[in-house]
Amino acid sequence: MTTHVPADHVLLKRVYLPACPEDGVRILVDRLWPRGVSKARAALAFWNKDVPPTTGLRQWFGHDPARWEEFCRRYRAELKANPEAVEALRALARQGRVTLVFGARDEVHNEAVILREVLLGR
Amino acid sequence: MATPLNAAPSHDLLAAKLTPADDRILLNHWLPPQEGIVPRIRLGKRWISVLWALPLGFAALILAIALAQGLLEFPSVKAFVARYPGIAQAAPSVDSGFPWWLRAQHFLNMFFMMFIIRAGIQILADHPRLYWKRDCTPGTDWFRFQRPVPTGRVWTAKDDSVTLPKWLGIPGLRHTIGLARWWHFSVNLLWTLNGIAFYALIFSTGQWLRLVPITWEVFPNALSTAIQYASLNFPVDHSWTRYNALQQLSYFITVFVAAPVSIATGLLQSPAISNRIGWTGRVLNRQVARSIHFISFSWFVLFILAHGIMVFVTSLRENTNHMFAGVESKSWAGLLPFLLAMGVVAAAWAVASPVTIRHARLVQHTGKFMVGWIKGLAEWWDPRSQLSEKDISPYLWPNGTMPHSAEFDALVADGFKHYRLRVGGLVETPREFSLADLRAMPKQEQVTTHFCIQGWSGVAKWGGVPMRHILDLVKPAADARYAVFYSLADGGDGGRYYDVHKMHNMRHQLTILAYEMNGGPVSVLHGAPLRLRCENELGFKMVKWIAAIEFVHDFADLGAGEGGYNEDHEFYGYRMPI
Repeated sequence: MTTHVPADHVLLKRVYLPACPEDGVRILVDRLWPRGVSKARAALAFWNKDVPPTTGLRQWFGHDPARWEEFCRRYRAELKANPEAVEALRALARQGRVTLVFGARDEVHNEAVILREVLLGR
Repeated sequence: MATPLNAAPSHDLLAAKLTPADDRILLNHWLPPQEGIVPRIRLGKRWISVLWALPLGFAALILAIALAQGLLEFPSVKAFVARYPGIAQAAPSVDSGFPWWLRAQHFLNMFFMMFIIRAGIQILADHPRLYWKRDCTPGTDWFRFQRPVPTGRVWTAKDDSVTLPKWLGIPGLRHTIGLARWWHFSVNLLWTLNGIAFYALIFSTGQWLRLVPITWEVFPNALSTAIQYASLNFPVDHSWTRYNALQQLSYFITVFVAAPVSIATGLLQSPAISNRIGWTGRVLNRQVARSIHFISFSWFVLFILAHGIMVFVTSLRENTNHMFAGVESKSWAGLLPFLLAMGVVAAAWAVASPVTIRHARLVQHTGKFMVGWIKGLAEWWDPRSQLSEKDISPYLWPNGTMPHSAEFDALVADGFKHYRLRVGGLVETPREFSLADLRAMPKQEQVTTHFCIQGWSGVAKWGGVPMRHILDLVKPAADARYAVFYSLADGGDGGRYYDVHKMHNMRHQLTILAYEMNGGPVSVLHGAPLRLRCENELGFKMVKWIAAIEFVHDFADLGAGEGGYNEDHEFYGYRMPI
């Protein structure tokens, strides 16, 4: 049986954008609760605290695009060392659409982007 | 549920697996950014950073100044400069000034070049390497702004693309070649029309005498001008009526050499053109054309820098009076129009990338309107160019998203024994073919170049069934205008990969369903069990891992309606012979 996750099963969205039914299962993948958002507005299925970058890595990165490529390498290594958490997310995404929700303003240099790549096996 | 009688015929089952696509670029679902490196040039085995040009250029400048000033101490050099002051005595003077049409065309040229150059750099960044040989084997590049190709893993051409700053490329994001090509080609068309009008007008008015040297004295005068500039004692300026020899030569090269060379080498990179024109396309292969195109681009950039600097250091006021007001005076008449023109260019520069990201579909449709008809015309040529077996590339870049499904794994496991190609839609006799059925049909072999949209190419020998034979078997109806190829693989954003071809592409001599590559079965990486070869099109249109072929009247109801997966998701055009 293939372990592949279809690419349209994993979407990304900023937590500040309104939730919609097409989001499927909404999962917050930040370590800290995003500022100024109520629990109701975030409309999460759950908050996954097993997969975000460690506090040390997050603080070192500080959303500095110059540190992006090194951040990618380190975060991928962290995820590799934590296969159960990644596999649990993959299992969910195989069944249907999930949306990884994050707070960061930079939509491109952002840990959720890497997490999506890892889930899709890229 | 009952089907209404007038409903369109139901599609192949796979049509249900096609997905819609967004009309703008969703930043966080696009390819994650990846920085390139400072451009390098290979000399032998060593890679030299182009940044060395800065200190070396500076040192050369200082040396040139010292040398020129030293030379001018010699009486013989003084006599030479006196004899050849910079403008050839025999060069005619143009007394009609700078007419309005010339000034307008000069501005339009500058405006168009801003888009052409930026979109061109974006296209280059999709495969940030240049080669002289058509096979693009890693390590044979002579120029790159990407790291060496990693070994020990599959590294696709898409992986190799790099991000550009948004102010430099249009739109700057990684692998946005689809959109950059619409900008590049559409504005190229306008630029070419402007250029044709310019040629016609200068040769019918006598303005051409400014640009075209008509005496050999231009060369000693150019040398004299160079010595005078380098000594920092600028030659006397009479540019209202006659350019100095160095100026004339550089303008001549730009207008009458670099521009036609860029157009020709641009077109030579197209599969339909390169495969149509015989030995010219084989000698000036795609990588030679791409490298010369880049060298010509470098000339343009250096020219624009030098020209811009010279305008400023040799009296900005008089120069702008000439070119932006058409007057010869010490007034300020030209400065305001000049600043306005630069403002327009700057504003267009600032909005080009954000607008392209936000309104990607609009850019695609506008580009299709501007140049789609040219691509449509080029599809009618039947490409015949073939190479010999010794040209087969040792390496062919892998690309695309591999099939990931239990269905495909099962097909691979039994050596595609249970594979069936479905052919249906608007045909008299829908059929299913096993691989054995296809192998029993007439076989055609061809050694051809694969032209990827990203810029790389490679040669392989393909063997398979001519598509025209399949057409004879299933007999498409008169109203079948397109063939839809469905893949066994999904595209990069999810949803099934598919692509649409016009019917006449299916009847070209070299259009085959290939099950062999270089004498053996096609590998899974390159499209097993069956892939399309249609040698007048770019690579992405030659669907790999074909599951079904459907003949249709229209493709607007498939996927996002653009005529293919990359057309829907990456804003490519569905006619891509250029």
